[in-house]
Amino acid sequence: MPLKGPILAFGLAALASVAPSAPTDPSSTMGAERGGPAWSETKWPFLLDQWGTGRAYRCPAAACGVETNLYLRAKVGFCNCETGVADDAEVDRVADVELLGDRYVPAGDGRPITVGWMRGRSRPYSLEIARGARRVLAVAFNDKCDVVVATVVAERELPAGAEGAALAFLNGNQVLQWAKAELGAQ
Amino acid sequence: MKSAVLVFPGINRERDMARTLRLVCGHEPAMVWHADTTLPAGTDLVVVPGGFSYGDYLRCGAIAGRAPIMDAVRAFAAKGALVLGVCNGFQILCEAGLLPGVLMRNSQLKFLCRDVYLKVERSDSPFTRGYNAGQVIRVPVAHGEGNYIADAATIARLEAEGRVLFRYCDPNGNTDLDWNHNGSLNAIAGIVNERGNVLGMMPHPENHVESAMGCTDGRGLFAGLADHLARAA
Repeated sequence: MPLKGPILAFGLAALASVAPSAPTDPSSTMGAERGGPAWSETKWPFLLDQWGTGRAYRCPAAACGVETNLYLRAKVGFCNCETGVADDAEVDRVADVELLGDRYVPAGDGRPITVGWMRGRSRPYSLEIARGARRVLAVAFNDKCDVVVATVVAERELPAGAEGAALAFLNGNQVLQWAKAELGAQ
Repeated sequence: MKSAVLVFPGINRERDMARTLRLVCGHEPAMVWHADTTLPAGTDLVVVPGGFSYGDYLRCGAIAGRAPIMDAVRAFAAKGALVLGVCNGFQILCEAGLLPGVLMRNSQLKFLCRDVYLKVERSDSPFTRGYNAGQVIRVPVAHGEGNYIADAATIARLEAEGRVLFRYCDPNGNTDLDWNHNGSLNAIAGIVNERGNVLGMMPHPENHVESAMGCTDGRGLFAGLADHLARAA
């Protein structure tokens, strides 16, 4: 049904946006938590879809080399309960890259990651945009049947340290506390 | 043939369905608002079209399945009259208790909008008399929640009673995991109730009825229904 077009168009608009939006919670600026750069929360830029709204964060160019956005959502009950995010097929299944556009392909194999008490994988994707392609990183990790997915994208090509910066932020107290509440984890 | 198309807030395929009924069956359907409590006198066929009734809140079809008009639809079906639900309409019929099972989120968790191939399992139904048994047709799907699930006993009964009318398949009619796009159990795309007078299906036959659409494979369903009702009259 025709909802898809507007959602994707909005995603592309969000991807292309360079205008900074005010943090919804100034106190959420992450500082140099666990050695990671400063991430501040911004407004969720996408239209409502079947997964609801998530949390959006921005890392300024001064801290991340290039302005980088991270979109975080929980998909409660939609992970493989038995194996978790054990392979790239599961990352492909649960990832949120389509928030940014529907023309994307994996750009390499994924690798195991750990976020707090959760394990998962990160995998790069190449997203087709109006003038070429852009690298997007999808990070997925689970607690039993529940999965959290993070989508990392920059206004230009993702810098080499983007994955490390994103993982440092995801392993910070703010995201872990959010994940515990969102997933109902103990 | 006198048909009625139900209209719920958030439905968006009712005009496609009305156009198809007018085009193939030759009669203008009545558009029936969800808050109504009766169907137009003389209705032969009730169609629950696709869309996003009530924004898909709670569960797809959950609110529409409990709308005022649905009591009339249940009574209509109980008399053995014909009810067709397409896409969200299938979800609504399941939520209304007119069909067993539930449509879960697609196994790949992605919204699907593409043409699919369906194998017509039998042609001795009012809904499939316009086809040959075993025929493969191409029709579009557009859904995020079309993954048909039911308990093992229900699936076994559906299969044993020949109540699966449409199954996802490859272009040659073979059921294959790669062509079961949404992960439905047994590649089920459409089922009927015990009496065979209520059909729910996820694909949209109403969108492939004119050559301008690039395919007319959906036409057989509506032509068959019109023929069935003409003979019954």
